[in-house]
Amino acid sequence: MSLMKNTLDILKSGSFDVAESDYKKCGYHLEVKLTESQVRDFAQAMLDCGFYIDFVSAVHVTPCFQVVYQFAHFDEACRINAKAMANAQGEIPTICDIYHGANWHERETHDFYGVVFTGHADLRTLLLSEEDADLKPLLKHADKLVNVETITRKSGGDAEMKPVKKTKEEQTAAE
Amino acid sequence: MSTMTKFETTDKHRFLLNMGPQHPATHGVLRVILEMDGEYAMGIDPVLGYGHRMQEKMAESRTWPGFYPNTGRMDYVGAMPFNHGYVALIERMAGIEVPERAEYIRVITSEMNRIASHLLGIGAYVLDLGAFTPILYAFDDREDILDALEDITGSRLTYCYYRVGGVLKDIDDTFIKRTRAFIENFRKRIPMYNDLVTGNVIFIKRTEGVGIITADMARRYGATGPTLRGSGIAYDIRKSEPYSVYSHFDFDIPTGKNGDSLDRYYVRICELEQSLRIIEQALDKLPDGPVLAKPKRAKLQEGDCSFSVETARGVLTYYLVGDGSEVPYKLKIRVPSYSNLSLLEEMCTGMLIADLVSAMGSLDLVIPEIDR
Amino acid sequence: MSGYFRDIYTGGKSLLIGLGVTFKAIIKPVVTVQYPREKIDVTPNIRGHIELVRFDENDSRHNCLVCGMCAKNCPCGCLTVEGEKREGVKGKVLTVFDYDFTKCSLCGICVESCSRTALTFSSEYELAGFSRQEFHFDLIKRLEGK
Repeated sequence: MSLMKNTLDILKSGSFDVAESDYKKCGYHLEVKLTESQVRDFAQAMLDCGFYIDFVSAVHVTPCFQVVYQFAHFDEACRINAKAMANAQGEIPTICDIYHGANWHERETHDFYGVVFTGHADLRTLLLSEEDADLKPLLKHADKLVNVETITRKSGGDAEMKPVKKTKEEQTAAE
Repeated sequence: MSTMTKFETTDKHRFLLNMGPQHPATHGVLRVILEMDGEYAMGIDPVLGYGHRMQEKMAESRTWPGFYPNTGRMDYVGAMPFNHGYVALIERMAGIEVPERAEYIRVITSEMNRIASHLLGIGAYVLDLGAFTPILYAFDDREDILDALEDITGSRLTYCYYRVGGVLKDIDDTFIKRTRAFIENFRKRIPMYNDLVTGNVIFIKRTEGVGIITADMARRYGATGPTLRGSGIAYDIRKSEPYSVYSHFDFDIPTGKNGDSLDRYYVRICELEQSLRIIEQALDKLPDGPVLAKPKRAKLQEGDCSFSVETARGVLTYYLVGDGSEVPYKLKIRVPSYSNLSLLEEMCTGMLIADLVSAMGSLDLVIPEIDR
Repeated sequence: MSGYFRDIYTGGKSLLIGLGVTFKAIIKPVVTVQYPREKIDVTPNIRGHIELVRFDENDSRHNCLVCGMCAKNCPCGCLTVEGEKREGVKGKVLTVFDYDFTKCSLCGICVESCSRTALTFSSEYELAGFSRQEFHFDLIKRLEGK
């Protein structure tokens, strides 16, 4: 646990918005909210603490993309989930020169969403073929696109999943 | 060659060599463009996506039970842990308690699948290096596992055996007897692999000191699994973030010293024994009880959830974002071979092409998993 | 010079050990099977394609209620189930039960979701054909033909 405490302190002293989260419910120990300009500093801090990169991905929401970074540690159980909103043009600084493994994850995210990682030297298509470079398959249709608030975990209760069928009380209330 | 490549060479001594997508040493449809200087690969550029199926889009276009059969199709060699990760993810999100017997059965079948996957990995690796016989012995042993698993799961490769809240079918005495017999038999066979492959001088010369991965490199690239453990870091999700009932068992994490191809190979051989130990303990402790909790068909809650499991090749992470409906809003699948392969360029630049085949084979790649 | 002979010694030793393993395999019983001429016993638990269950041994009717849960839950959309109301018969009567095996991923969700256990897995595993149409099964016909 000491590693997690240390990391928490280091991140707090670096003025990152970090909070502990319930591992049993969401599968990671620390949650970090980043601004666009903090991403590179955060990645450097992670590397200095000895974390390895698990993945980089994005979620298409309004107003813009939410880019997700996950890190974990080889020595102790400490999984860190960081989220940053890309700017209005869908741009976010790259971390592939800090974490070389982020290179392919960023290229993949660019393939699927069109998130532009500024400073990335080589944003060629990776999984998609060259002809499909403009396809951006994971962009949501306008009717399915939701606001970033909708996909944010509500703090406190409401952790139980709601059953698909409405209960009788709910039905009568709706009527 | 298409404009895909990043090499724009003007040096007339250098030439481009296209390895794959149908090269036997790339284990599937992986293409690697090499910039060669004589026999030396001075530039390496893997081209992925020949087997790309856009699994993440499929996950977003159907309900969560509907995506479940797809998970085993990604890594067809070790499908059980992929299934395990997905059902466990949904269980974590929904707060479903799994009966203990079901968890034990999951561990037993997952570990058997891991042995089968390692056997294929070892056999295919040695085949890459030019030795044909070992893969036949490996298939002989793997056949025992597949037959046993087929008897209870009904399938040989893509099992779909786990269910959210348990497993499909209880195991019977025949399976337990068969598994015990297999363990006894296989324990005797492991020294044979060491005689046949590990001690072979040609094999050692081809692998020792080839493709060294340092701990720092593994960290920067996110390499996991035997690829990482060969570099001397004892990291295993089964120990560090124990899921299911792995915390009930006593097993070691084998590690290498130098991080070369030989170490990665030998870590896999040692893991066979560890998996046998886990299965043995699980069979001894197997509790009675139901194997499937009452199925609950539910909407995914709002918010994100992640689950990591240790597959035969490394850490698999599912990251799910729900928006309150039955259909996942986003599902990111972090596959181990993807990160492991991404360090190929740094690992192999300046190598002889024969060594490159040896180093790449030791990563134990499964291409459909990388391409998803 | 001594290194040269040591290399020959270790190389020769590893060669002999390896050949010893191979030699032992020669005198062991054969593990392979000459497939089309010989066949091994396949477990009856194998999950092949799905089939309608007969009512009982003598009765070739089936149990299906045409609730459509199998088709609704199928992730691949490979089932087409249709029924119609007939006079004098309670509930619906099954008229179409088409199964597109080319799309099926053999997950078994249909069999699980069936409330009347009207579906089961067949243990057929040798399926090969020359055209796609051969794998569009009409399960009602298959049941009657049995």
